[in-house]
Amino acid sequence: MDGFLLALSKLSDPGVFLLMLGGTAAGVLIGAMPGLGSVLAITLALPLTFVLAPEPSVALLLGLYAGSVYGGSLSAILINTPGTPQAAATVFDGYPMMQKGQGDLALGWATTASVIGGLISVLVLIVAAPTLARFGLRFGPMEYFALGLFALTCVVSVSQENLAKGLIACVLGLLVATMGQDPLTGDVRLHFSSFDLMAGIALVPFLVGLFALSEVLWRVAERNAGKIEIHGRTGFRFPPLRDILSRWRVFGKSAMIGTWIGTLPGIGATASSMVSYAEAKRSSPNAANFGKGEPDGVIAAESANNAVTGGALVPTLSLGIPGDPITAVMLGALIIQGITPGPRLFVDNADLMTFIFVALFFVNLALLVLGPLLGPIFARAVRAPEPVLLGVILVLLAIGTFTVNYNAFDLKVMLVAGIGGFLLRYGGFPLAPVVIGFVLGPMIELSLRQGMVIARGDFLVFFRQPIALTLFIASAAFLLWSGWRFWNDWRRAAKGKNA
Amino acid sequence: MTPRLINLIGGGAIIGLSALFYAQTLSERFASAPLARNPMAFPRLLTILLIVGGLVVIAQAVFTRRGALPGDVAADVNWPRAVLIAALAGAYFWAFEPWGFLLATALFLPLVIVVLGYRRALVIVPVSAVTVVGLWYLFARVFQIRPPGTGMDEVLRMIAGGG
Repeated sequence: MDGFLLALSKLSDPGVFLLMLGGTAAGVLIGAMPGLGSVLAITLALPLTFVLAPEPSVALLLGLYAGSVYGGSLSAILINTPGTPQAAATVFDGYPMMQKGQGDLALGWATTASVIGGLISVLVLIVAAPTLARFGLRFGPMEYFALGLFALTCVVSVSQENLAKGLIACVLGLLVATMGQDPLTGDVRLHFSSFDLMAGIALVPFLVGLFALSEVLWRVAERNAGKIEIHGRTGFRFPPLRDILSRWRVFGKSAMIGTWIGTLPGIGATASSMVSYAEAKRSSPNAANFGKGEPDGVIAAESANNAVTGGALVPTLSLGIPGDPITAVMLGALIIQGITPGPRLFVDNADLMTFIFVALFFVNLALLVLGPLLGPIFARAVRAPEPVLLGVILVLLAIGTFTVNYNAFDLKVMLVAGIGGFLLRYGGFPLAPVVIGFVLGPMIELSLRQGMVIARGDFLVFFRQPIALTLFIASAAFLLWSGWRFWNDWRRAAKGKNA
Repeated sequence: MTPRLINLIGGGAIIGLSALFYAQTLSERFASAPLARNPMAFPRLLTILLIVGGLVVIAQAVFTRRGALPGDVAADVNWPRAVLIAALAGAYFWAFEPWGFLLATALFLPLVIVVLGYRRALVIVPVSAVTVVGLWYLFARVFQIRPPGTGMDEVLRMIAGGG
């Protein structure tokens, strides 16, 4: 209880509170702009967290996270284009409601569902994260290696239909992470005779380049990026309370689906909203209206994708294993603050953990206020000329990245990572495994080699640890499943060639 | 570019990159170190995995209809525009420290907006001015991190002195 009151008092600090609100508002607007998304929102703010204390940083980042996931629904409903992939399922019924002249009500349903989904996931986070962290205290190097491998396997298996490209992307991230100092012996490696590379590749320029700069280049280069236009009346209207209460099953079930899927590495909010939408359609008495402007469709998609925010933080905070690029960036931000996510976090930084729970709770509540305010602002912002927007983003990326270490080399890293990210996108390689591989790389390598030292070079010892063995089996099952699926797809494609 | 060509080039590039990294792991210094204490062992394993992955992508491109793999989406990319913006960004990043934030950004921002196809000077000039000055004050005054080069204070002094 003391911890809770302390967290509340920290959050009530005007600076922290304003950062939380500002982060949420900025997240909503960035999430609503098609193509920008949650990762860009958080990576843009990452350099700013260097000059902030842990609590304001966390408040800002959580606001950006939950705000950007919600923001995707604004554009999904108003312009038939999901601002973020997470809002893809919101389009199915949100835009038809807009076409029927109920866009204001659709925004109301989306906001209510996002808030309820987010709040339920915070409650699950409060209960599940400390429990998982206590379990994580039993982990040694071998278990951590198995867990890291499991997380990578999940991300690779579900990130793209092409398993080989997913694996390549993941290994690429791991390889880039090995540049610089060896974590075990301190020897310098893979520096290509460059003095700057001897320190390794820093997290911020690599992430900002890979996601944000490559996104800007992609938007500049893509010929099919359509012009954004709003047809119809924009406004905001909350649904009546009795209508909300009558749909409690859809709210609850979708939030639980989202939270559960969020805790699994690699699957993420996009899949959760699709699964939740499909389940709502299957079980709804209004199934025939789905796709034609049924509020249950909007609720299912929005409740699930916002519930992922709390769910995804469970393994990130309690085990130090991010489930998607967004939580990987969040993990990086915490590390920058000198906070190492993992089982010890709940022992060493219990106050900060309580602050995270409280801040995420209030961020979700803030959406209730910001949703009605920002919908009309987005309708104006979306008319801003894209060249101006992209130019300003490029400047923000440069100054943000440079001022982290006051090092011009970081700008070079960002440029190379940006061009690399652009080429990977063009080649059909997913970016999520690259960043998860990069973030988890040092932990995986260190735990593998520490485990090998403990096992005196006998790798079979890893398989004699029950937790590690379970995780290895789960990893193998995931890989076999996705390999089998990919093999079938490829065979079909190859048969088509011979036909 | 056809999906087959993209996949062939992509697979080849991955193999080339892996070979470059693999060459870096061939140090005699650690040849006798046990596996767990050899700093090159893990990166070497990764480069081998990458080479195998690159070969699989090439094989898939060769043996699949039209060379398109499951999940491939052929994007219609305007290459000259992408290269131009990347080059402009590179030049801006290069000039960032020696020229200073104010000068580099004051030149880059309007230029990139024009190159991207927006030509209304009545919008470009105020947006550029507000962005440059606003960001300088935000970083220098609020975050206490002074961007490189001449600051707004010196610029204002120069203007006042000149006047």
